Amino acid sequence: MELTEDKEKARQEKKDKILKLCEENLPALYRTALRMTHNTADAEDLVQETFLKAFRSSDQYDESYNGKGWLFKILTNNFIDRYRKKQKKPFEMEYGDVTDVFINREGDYNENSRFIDPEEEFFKKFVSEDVKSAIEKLPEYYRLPVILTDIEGFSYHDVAKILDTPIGTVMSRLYRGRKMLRHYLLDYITTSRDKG
Amino acid sequence: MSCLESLDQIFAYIDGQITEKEVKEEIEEHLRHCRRCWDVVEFEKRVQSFVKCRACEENIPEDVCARAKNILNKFKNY
Repeated sequence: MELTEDKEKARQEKKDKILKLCEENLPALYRTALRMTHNTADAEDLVQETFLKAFRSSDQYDESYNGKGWLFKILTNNFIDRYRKKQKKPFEMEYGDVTDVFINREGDYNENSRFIDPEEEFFKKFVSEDVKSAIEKLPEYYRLPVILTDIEGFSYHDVAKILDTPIGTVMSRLYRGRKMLRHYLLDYITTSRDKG
Repeated sequence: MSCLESLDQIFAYIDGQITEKEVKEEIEEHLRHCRRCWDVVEFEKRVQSFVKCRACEENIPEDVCARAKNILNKFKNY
């Protein structure tokens, strides 16, 4: 009898922890879902499904593990499942779209001099919508590591766990994604300058 | 450490992901003497912090938030 009560108490405590985890991470999950899906309705669905799956798999929740990472893994798996069902083109096809981040390195960093502006004028030219659009333009292959590392602050190790990918792959996708993102941001500046 | 070697590890360094003390010290020693690599590090830090700051400016709509919390409440009482 006492054993059953203890078990029930432990189950309730775990449930409360998962609830708290979901509540605390709702804004982060939603903005990530939005960057993944590009639209508010799909983002909302993705977050709600994440909550449902989190509770359904509460037995697998290990309190010693990074709770935010656990939720993001559920979110990412959900997204990848949906994405793969919707897309005719395999996920991996996007890999060949960019040249290596370290090719032309000298050129890359000379190009960066356009970013370096003591008056911070360069950064002032961007509104948050430009940055969000640039992130959304990234192929999924690169977008996920960039979002998880640069926006949500996960370590390479956590991102590797969330994406079920070796750490070296995470690093190379992250570097390529960052490089692509910088090019997109520069494009926004060039386009707005040409227009204005 | 050369510029090339340093740049190969620049992102991992900025991300605080270099765990080997010796490697970290080598990079820092290089950065103390190489203005170009130092500029690269400063530039990357600024871009990363800028991107994070702008990308986080995302308010969750009230109705979306209410519906999500409604689902959580159902679990609370389950």
